[in-house]
Amino acid sequence: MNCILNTNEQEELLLGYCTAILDPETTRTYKRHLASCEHCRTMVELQKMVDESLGDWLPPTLSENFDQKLFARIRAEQEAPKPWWHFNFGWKPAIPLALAAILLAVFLVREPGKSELAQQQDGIKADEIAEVEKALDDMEALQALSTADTAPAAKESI
Amino acid sequence: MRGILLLFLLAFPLYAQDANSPGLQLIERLNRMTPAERQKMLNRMPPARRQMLEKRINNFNNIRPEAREKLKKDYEFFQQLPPEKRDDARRTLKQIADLPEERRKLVRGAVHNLRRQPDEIRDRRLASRAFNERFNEDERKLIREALAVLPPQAEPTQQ
Amino acid sequence: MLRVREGDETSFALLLEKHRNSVIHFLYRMVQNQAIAEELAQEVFLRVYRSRETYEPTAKFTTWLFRITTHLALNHVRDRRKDKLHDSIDEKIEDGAPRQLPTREANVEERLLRDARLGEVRQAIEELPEKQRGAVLMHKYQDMEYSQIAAILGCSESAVKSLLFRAYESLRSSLRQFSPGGSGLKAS
Repeated sequence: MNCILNTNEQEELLLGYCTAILDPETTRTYKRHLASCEHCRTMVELQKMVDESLGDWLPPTLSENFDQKLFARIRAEQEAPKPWWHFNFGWKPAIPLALAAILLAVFLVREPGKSELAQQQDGIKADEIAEVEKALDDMEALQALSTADTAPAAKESI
Repeated sequence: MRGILLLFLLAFPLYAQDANSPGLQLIERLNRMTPAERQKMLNRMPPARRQMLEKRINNFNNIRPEAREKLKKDYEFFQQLPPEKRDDARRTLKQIADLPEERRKLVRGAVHNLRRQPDEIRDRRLASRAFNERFNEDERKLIREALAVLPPQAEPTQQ
Repeated sequence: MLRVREGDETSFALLLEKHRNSVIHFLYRMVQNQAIAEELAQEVFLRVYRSRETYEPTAKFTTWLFRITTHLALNHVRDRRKDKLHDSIDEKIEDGAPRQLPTREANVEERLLRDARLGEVRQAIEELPEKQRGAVLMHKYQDMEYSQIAAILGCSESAVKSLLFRAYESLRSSLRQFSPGGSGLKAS
């Protein structure tokens, strides 16, 4: 049986009708069409069956430790030293990034024996921040060991 | 923040001479950056982590110069240990830090005093009954391990 | 998400709570494997977290979120196709350990029929080209409009309609045998 609607119209009306997003006027018009079009009535029936079957498709229960695993991964990433290029992707403004790249290029093409100040201005890499923190960790631990000399208990210890 | 970073700039000249310890070198490089560059670099960090770093650097700045020089020497010695020994040392220092307060003070005190002994006297004291009675087996182990990761500081007057 | 951008980690936890299930359910239906869906979902939220500093509220958050989700899902499906891994629908059902069908009816025969239809439609979904699959799942389960699906898939609305029409046509064909009158129905 032929339908007077073209394929795209059929589909759009069919989906709209079955998901109840058609405006009232279009719905009425489509219902009148369905009354006289066996093909479209069949399509509506099939579409409802598809919708019902899709609705029956329930996903499994989520693993209990999903969030825990995610936060552990986030923490691990935060604690791991990052390669120098990582932070570049986190920068929002492209223009300051481009300017920084230009400045870096200027420093790199300067004549040999550039001033110490210019040398000092080369950017520190992001993974080196982790090195700094590690150095501070070690120095704090060593310092803690060395500050016992003023404690009264220490004098009696050995 | 700029004030802290400027303080940072002023307080780390001693580390500018260091050549062997990458951590100290990096601290010195941070020190040499302009405030704007340092701010730009540190701003990439999560805020909480950045604040912690600044606080720790600030605490470090406030160590007395002579104590800081001594700490620098200890750190350089520590850095010269093989990586696995450094990891062992970190575990030891952490275990000492985790001791109950009173025991921690005694253990640290022992390490501090024994470092200042010449080798022969230190070994005798480590083997003495007094030492064995004062510290349990685990504590004695920690003390020996800590002594291995710190440079000796034998003073002639102690002999 | 703006609070997450400012470093508020509690907000990230709330965001996760709000969107976790919809992401995982979408991924599950895309890849039809719960373990893989959860792994992909972890990657989605890791990317959300990593990108927090560059997030700009120029579009709905769910659009941005599902753009990441769909990108990962499509890549996975394409990679699987290349590896020619194709589990049978029966294996998938057991692997996924789906929950029971809603027991709207006590009639065993009806339940068997619904199970059979569900099996067919799941297989039909599995056989859809990945973009059609993604479009259908977003349309059906996330109630997304054509415009939002288009923004997520990076195509025009008319392209989305085309994807959906073809996808639903395939799904209807797969269930034609179950309609009253059986296989005697003519195709459109």
